[in-house]
Amino acid sequence: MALLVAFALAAMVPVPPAAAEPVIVPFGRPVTVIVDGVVDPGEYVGSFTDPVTGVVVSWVHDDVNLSVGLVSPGTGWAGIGFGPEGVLMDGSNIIIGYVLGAVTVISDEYGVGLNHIADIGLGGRDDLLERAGSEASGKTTLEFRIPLDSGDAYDIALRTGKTFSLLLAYHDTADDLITLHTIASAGSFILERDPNRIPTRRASLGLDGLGEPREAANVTLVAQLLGDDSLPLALAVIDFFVNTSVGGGFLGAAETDAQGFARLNYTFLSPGPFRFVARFEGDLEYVPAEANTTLVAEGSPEPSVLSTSDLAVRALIFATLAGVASVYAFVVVQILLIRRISVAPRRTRGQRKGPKADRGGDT
Amino acid sequence: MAKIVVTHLEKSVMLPLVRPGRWYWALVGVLSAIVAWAAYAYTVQLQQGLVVTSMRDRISWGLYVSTFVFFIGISHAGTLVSAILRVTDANWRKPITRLAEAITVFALIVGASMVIIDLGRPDRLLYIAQFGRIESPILWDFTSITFYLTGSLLYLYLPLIPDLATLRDKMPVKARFRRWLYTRLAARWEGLPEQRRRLERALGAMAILIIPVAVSVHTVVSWIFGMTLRVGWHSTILGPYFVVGAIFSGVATLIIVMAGVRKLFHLEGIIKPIHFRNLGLMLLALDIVLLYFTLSEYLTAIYPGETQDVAWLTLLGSGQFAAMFWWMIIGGLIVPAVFVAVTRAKSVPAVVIAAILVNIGMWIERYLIVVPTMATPQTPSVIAPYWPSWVEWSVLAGAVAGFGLLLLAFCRFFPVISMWEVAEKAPTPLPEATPLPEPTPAEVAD
Amino acid sequence: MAEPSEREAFEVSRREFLRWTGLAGVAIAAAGSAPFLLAEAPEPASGSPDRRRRWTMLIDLRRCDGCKRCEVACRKEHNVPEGQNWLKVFTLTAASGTFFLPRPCMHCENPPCVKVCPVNATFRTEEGLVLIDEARCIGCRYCMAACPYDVRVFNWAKPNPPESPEEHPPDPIFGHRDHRQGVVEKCMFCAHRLKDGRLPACVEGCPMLAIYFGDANEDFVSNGYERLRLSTVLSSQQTFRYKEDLGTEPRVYYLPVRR
Repeated sequence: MALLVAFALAAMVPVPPAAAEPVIVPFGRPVTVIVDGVVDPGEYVGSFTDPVTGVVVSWVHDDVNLSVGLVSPGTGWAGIGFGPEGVLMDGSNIIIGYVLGAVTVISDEYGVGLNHIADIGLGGRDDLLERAGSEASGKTTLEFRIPLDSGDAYDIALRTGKTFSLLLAYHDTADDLITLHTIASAGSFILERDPNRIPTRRASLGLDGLGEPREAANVTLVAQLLGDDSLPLALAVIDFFVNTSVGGGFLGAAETDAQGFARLNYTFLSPGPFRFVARFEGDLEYVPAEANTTLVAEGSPEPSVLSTSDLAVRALIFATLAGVASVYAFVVVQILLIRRISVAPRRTRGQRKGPKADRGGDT
Repeated sequence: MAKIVVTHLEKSVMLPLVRPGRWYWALVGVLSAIVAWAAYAYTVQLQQGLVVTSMRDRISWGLYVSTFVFFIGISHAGTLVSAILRVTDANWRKPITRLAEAITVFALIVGASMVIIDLGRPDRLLYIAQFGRIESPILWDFTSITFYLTGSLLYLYLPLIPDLATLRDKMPVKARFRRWLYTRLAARWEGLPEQRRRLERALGAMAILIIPVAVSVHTVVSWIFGMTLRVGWHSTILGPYFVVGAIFSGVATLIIVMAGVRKLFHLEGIIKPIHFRNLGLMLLALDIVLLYFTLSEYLTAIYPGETQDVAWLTLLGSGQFAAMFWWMIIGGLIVPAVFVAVTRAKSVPAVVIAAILVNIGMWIERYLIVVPTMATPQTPSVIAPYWPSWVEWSVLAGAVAGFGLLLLAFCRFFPVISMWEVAEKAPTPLPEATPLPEPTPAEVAD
Repeated sequence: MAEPSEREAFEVSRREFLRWTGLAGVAIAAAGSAPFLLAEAPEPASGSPDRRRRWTMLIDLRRCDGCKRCEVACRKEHNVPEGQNWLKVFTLTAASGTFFLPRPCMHCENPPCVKVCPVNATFRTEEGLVLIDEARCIGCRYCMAACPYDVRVFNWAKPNPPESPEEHPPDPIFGHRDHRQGVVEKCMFCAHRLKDGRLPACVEGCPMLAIYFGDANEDFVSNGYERLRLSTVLSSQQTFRYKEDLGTEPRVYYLPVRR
């Protein structure tokens, strides 16, 4: 582990997330993939070659499982990562493997910081349904199948319509799971919907807030989902978001009940206008729908900060300084009085008296 | 013409005003040259910025702030000798009060200048008065130094009045400007009883008031450091430590100035060994108190062994500041105490040497308060060692020379001994209550 | 002749005594304590009719690999003078190994630097940012002594002017590209970018997406790609703040390497 960090320090290749178009993972049913370690032509419905690494990815999904074939230009390990959009290795589901002679090792792992750790080591499961691999003419081929939604906290639930991040990496020669990659890339992908089941129906979604919007107070966001027949759609997942200065923030998801209502609580942390968005991701029949509402939270009255203690302190300081200053004034007054008390002939304007004159006269 | 009588005392004291002697002028020359060099160094700093010092981002306070604290400390000389001894009616103080009061004023002026020199934007100095924030210890410092300076000027001027009157009356005829000056300043003093009364009242009020004002000044200066979260600074003992250290270095400065003035102006008949003895014993007493505070501070820091405290103390005891630290303890605190104790303060040279060692030690002590704390890392940054640059040393030399120059200028125009106080006899004793006459038997019978 | 005039003088003086002393005393006290009186009372943090913001930064130490591109991005954004680092990445060792800690200004809610500034040159805005008014700073460097995080830097020499000085007047809101000699500077959470709805330069400049930034009152922070719910992160992960025990209430949270 320390070695890896040292490598990272010495030879880190920065991988800024690419802003390219997401690759589409095609839908195919029935799945004709045989996980045997060899990618045959036509076996997968679609494939693409990653321009950065040169890894060829072939894949297909049937809304239940995802089958993947990786061909890397090296004889070392190869890996692929699926994660939330924009995320790099940390927090992604990572499938990484190598072929050493007759032995193929493919591991279901999870990205933790700068490293990846096997799901089993974190308390999860190795969720690969099938795995196989082969090595020939300087290239490594890995094939595996994973469920789209394994339920494991250290995997990622993939679904159609959403963009996910795609990471690819391989090593030229190292047949292990820990050596830092030769090259890696980051992109994104999206799962194709079943072309036979393109949703066409339109649902209508309404969003409202229940309760007095006020700072530090609760409101309940209520979304109602109605089908195109104006009947409520039950058991649909509604995602709630709030608009923030850093983008839309995901607040949580709720399922609609028999009346089509989904509810989520929200507590205001400051006064001001807040814009909420509810989104229905759609299903096999309905296209996605969205609704929004703006709630303005009132501020709670604040206690006056300019309290009496501040005034008291100022008064005390002023009194002390005035006291000192008045003694100084007293002293100055004494000096002035000393002048005034003098009985020597005062010098009036135009008349020069003083020692010089005294010299001439008598006292 | 009435014969102007000049007493022997007055003659000795007034002579330096007309004929200071060639050593005086030589000294003025040397000090002026040093001050001129320092002024040049400061213009270099004004042109190029504070980068000409050795201060950098982590050790951002250095020689200037240490010297500021040092001179504000010296300004407590006047307070102790003049005010406390006046309030307690210690008559031996009389020949030296003038010097003490003058030292106070000039030390405050030099000390305040050091702070201005340290500012990155001295052109914005008045912002402190315009936009000051009550919460800032620097503002407390600004206010209390202003009040102390005002008070010290009053306290210097008040007892000067009778002497100014004497000078007005008895200066040689030729000194026209001087006589004009003294006449203007003498507040028409004629020694009338009512004038005396008012003067005494004013002096009494100032003597009492100036003590808390002075204590507040150096306490507030210590709070500039004490109110931060830094190791070595965030210590409750800092206030008393600074005040005692201030009086300590003030007394030492007074001893040095006394010795110098005595030698320069041949005042051996007025400033006597008894004064050196008393001040020397005071120096010893304060030295012991300061050793006690020092022990308390460092022992409580090192005993629990908190990481930051240990790092700071290691820098002091055995790190880059070790030489200065041990010089301060041994050369600045222990050796002077030994000198004074062994000679029982009866040897004037011993007391004077002790005072010089004390002042050097105290300047080092101020430096060791400011710099090692900033040199102790509080984050994992690497801190380059700090050693003052030529500009900073030049300014320090200029400050000390400037202080001396101000005193010498003062000596040229004003008598360094308070003539009227020294000439006073012991106060007339209060008339004893005469006992009532014995009642005659006739009265008793009734 | 002397005595009656003396007596008159005395009587007059007694009558005027109180007036003189009182007036003079008040005048002197007012002059001497002008700073105290004129100083503004600490402004109550009144909630604006719009949002009340509470800018917060979250740094994931697991993702930080010590590349220091955040430092570079910050220096570039603000034309930071030579030798200064407003954001600094520390290398620390713990039992688990070496890790890196990027340290911006903490923009504390109880800032020791604001407390000690004598001229109100450094101040806390209503949005929670601690900024420096370069036109007010007198260069006393007290704030530098007071900051426990070594965040502040000083322009010891004359800094280089920006390429286009007219576009960048010295103002806390305009990015501090034109720097002045003799004043203190520091990280400003890119207040000029926040105003335009952009993220700070270090957030955008981190290739590992380790720095998140947002408004704690909106409860979401972002590193430019992901958005995290701050309250969830703070309550479920072992987040910590640097030198929290000093009571400065910093606004930068760290996600430790092991959590």
